[in-house]
Amino acid sequence: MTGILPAEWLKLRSVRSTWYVVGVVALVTAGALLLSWYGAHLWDTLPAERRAHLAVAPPTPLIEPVLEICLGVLGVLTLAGEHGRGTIAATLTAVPRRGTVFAAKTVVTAGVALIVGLAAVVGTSLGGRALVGDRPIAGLTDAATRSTPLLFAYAGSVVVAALLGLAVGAILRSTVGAIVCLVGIVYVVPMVVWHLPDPVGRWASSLVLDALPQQAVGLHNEHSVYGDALPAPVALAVLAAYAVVPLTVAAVLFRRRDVG
Amino acid sequence: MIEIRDLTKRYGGRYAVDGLSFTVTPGAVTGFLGPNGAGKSTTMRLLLGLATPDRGTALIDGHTYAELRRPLHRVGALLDPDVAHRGRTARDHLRCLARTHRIGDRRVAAVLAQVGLASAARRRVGGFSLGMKQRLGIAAALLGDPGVLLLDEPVNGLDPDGVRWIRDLLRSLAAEGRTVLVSSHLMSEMERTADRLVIVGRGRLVADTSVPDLVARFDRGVHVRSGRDDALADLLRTAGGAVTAEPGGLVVTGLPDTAIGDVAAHHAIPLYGVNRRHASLEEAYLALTAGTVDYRSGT
Repeated sequence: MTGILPAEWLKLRSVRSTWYVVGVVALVTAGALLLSWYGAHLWDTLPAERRAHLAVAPPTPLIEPVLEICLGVLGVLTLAGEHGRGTIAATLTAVPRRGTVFAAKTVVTAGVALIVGLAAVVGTSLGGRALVGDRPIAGLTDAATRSTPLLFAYAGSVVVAALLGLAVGAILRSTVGAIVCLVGIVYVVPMVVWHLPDPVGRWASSLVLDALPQQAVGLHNEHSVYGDALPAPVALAVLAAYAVVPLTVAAVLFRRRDVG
Repeated sequence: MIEIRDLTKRYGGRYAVDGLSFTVTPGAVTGFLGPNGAGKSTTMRLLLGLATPDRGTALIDGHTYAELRRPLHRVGALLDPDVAHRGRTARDHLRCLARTHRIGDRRVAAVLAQVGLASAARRRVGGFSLGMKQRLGIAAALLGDPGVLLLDEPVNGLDPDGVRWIRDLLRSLAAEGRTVLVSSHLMSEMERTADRLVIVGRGRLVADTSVPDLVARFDRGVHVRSGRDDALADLLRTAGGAVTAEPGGLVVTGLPDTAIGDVAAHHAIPLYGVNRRHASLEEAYLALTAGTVDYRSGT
């Protein structure tokens, strides 16, 4: 049943919500580029002695949570959306082997998240560098902005968020519930964890989703709410676990539960 | 061929389907009748593998649905008119299903034309009327040209033209040798469409019968008005009928309409009216399901 992948891909691109998500990602990327341009413009207008003190928030990690939410929502819609609308009955009537359906949805969601995530991350990073040029601005021209592995790690965490959305959506079978969970994991948990006392706080803030890309490539989360207590391989494993653990639970439930 | 054996499904302690057994044969339209909540939709969901039975089996051509290799070519199903995404066009909805079986876009266009939606193919389903959604659902069921059709309440929301169209479609599908199972809670519709009737109530089988047999079981006789009722009554009794006199005519049971006409003609008794009291199937159905209705109106 190799036709299932083209079917799932057509399903995704034939609804407007997918393109809204892509549109929001494009807007956010443009916003990040605008920030880089503004940083460069500011640098040009400042007197020389104040230029050394200019610091701009690094644009890629800044938009990272937004990318994760956008693609996470896409993941939620892929399965929880089908349950909410009842279209899952038609899907499973065409392909009764549920493991195949779940795998196809996982592959298509991951593929789309990788392409969109990579485009946004590379776009903000390379575009920002081109706009800033050789001006030394803290945040915009740090070593981290030139790390190719880090760009892939950022894109990877967007894929993880998309799969997390897919899995939580499959478990809860509710679009709203799954999106609330997703926002909780990406935004609320880091905020709570940030206020925990050390050493628990340091560990916990190293484990939140957006703390992982830097750690996974061996970089430190400097001047950040995120901790950096994990060695690179551990960080990479934790990042993968954010997707794999919920996906496993979701796959088991998806195969077992009655539909409708 | 559909075989339901001892099928049982419980939802939270309540039996939706309770030891149900029946067979649906090819070449006929089988009406699947019962009051709301009788277990018709649950049976269809169990047949399609969307739910797992607690006991018993539901087989299509000897296989469970999950075992079917290319199910859309074996079984076409219409469950809920809302199975299409509101934001997707009718054509894209069918193409999503077609892709899973490598069915081409020409077939998609053909079934859309067959159900009368060719001009609405590129419109979003969200703007469809209930009747158009039903037509789209039927197009999806026909997509793989299947030998077995399961249609849950297909006439819901259809206008009179649509109802007639469905009736003709079902009859022609059965005439082509396909197995057609159509659920409805409307006896009057099934009366004109179905050859066989499987009637359920509270998840149990109430009757498995042909339409003429059910009519015969609830035969209310023939109402006859004639020029000489008394004489005709005697003659009909002699011919083997049971006759009771009513104000305005006779009620005859046990004789076909033609025999009554022949007797009257033979004795030159003018007939003013011969009406079979079609123990309306509606009444037969209501009588059969009387004890099995879960949700009765308060009047």
